[in-house]
Amino acid sequence: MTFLSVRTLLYTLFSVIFIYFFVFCDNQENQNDFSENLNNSELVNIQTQDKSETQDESETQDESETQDESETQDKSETQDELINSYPFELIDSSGETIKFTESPNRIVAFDSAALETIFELGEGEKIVGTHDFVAYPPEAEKITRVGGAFNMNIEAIIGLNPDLVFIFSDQNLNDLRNAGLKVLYIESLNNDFTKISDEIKMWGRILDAELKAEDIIFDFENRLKNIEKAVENINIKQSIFQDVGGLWTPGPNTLVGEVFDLLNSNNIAYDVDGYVQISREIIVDRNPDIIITLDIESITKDPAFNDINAVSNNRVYSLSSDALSIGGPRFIEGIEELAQLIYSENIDSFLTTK
Amino acid sequence: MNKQIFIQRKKNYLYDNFKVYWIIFLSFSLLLIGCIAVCIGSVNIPILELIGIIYDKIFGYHNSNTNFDVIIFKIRIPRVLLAGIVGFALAMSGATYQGLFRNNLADPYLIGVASGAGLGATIIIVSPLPIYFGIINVLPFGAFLGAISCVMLAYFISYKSNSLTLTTLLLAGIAISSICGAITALLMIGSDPDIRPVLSWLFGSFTSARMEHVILVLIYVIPSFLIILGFSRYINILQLGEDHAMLLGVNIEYVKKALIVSASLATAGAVSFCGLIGFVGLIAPHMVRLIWGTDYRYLIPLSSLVGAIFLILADLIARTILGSSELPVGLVTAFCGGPFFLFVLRYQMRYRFK
Repeated sequence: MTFLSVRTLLYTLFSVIFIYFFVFCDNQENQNDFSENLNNSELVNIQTQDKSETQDESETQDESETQDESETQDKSETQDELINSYPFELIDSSGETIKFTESPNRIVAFDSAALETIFELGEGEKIVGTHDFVAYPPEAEKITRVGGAFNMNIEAIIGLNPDLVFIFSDQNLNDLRNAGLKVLYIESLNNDFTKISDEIKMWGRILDAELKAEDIIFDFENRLKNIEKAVENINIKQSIFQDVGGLWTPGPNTLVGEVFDLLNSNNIAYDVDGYVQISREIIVDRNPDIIITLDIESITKDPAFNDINAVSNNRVYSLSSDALSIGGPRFIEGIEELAQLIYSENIDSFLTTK
Repeated sequence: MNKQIFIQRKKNYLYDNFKVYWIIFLSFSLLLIGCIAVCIGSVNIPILELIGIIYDKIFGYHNSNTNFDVIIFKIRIPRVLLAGIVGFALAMSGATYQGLFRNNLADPYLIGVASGAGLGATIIIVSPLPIYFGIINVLPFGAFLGAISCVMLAYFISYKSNSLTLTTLLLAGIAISSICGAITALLMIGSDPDIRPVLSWLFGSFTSARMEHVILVLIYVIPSFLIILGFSRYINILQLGEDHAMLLGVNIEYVKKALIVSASLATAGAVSFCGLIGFVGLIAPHMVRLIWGTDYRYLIPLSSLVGAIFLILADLIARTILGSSELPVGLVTAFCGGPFFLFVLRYQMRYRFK
């Protein structure tokens, strides 16, 4: 009977992981709560403060900021002193109220998007720990790693003595809180990429770098608008299929699915929920014009896919970075790359940066 | 007295003949179910069109609608064939192991095939090497190598002075399974968090079935089937125990080696292309045993056919029930096979003790 129990254990393990992933992909309901919380409690506050400043001042600051960073940092500090935003409170995804009395100095950012946001805000040196799979930015290489999603090393996190731990799933939430750490738990974005700017705003608020955050958001939304403008006039809708490995593909209510909508292209997986493994019959039948995949040969070498448009027109691509899989400030780069792949030279003039 | 024995023999002969008719009947139903499975899929192809396409193919006309053509000949037919052959192989190996180990809990994955194949596949998926080497998909070969090396290890551990101890083989298989399972889990934890391809492989899937796969699996399955069928009389004798079998003049070492090698090869070949599909190898022989008795000369072909039919139907459910996306077939076999098997068990118990 021993072998039965061992196998049962293994099967149970796998099924638990599997179910975990399903739960992971499908929690969009709480997401709305989070953004509402943000909008209602905090961000309204910021906006009113911005209005109280004279517009001319902020504009001149923006200009000077591009020229000299150190100066503007000083300025923004003085600005924040004037605003005197601390202490403030923030409601996270678990419904807990987190109080910030000062800007945290030792952060464990257990989330790629948060890490990228913090680095983008120029506060990267405040991160003391992150998870095992962070690949961007290069400066993050040196940061201590404290495990992956399934094996978070809580002792190591405590050993880093952080004054803020940011996590994207509630798996170890209670353990971390019981250890006396200040934990901010915000679920990672599964849909509605416009909320990325809410997260950037939140980090700007926490790290006392609101002006910088406003800059990033301005840039993000500006580039987004440019793409929208470019795509507006294109009448021919091209169908697209993204393979994230083993023919798993994002449905319309995922971050990437929404990007396909934004880019005025038809996702061939329009009738699915979250990420699914799509059947090859459907791919052949819906005949995508463009395929985005990790491994180009797995598509082009498949005899069943010989006749589909993407393969016969040589339009099977793989993305150069993982920007589209992380809902952080780099997401816009992913959108731009995708736009370039779909529309090639037609869109170049609209992409202002890079 | 003589007359009674004669009548008994005649009855046995008739009863055996009925089993031969059952084999013929099941072969025809397998064919029929295979044809039905080709007609149904996530892409709806009208039956008249389908007949037309097959007619055109047979008589060499070129059909205008290439989409349906590709779907039927390059996706569905290989898939149904592979499902049938894999079900056939798994049920056959399951029946062989159950007879050989005289253990009702034995299934084709008993002596390390599954965990070895799982480990091989996980190494290939997790490693940064491309899954395609030229036009050859490396994944099945990795899985096959893993499966065969695990069985070999267990085999040579239990091999002493020219004889094979079945108990040691079983225990060695269990130990090796646990080790491989642990390494697989470790690799999964240590790899990128997006392990959906590994998961769908571990639950079994016929998504990437191709005609080449069918032929490669057949190369293992046909010789194994012939060998096992040839030795099935000795499995009957082995039911008396190894000592009795030896006294009856059976070269049991030879029989054991031949059966284990051929059953393992068939399982490894089957598993390497479609992942770990549970339950088929366990329930098909049991169902056959409950309905048609324990004579292994008939049990092996009957359970192979039942396994093939069962897996074709399970795969049909797996690829159609979610519309355009796929379900791992291992989940379907467990969901449908489990309750059905319980029903058969209960029914048989009532019948037996009436």
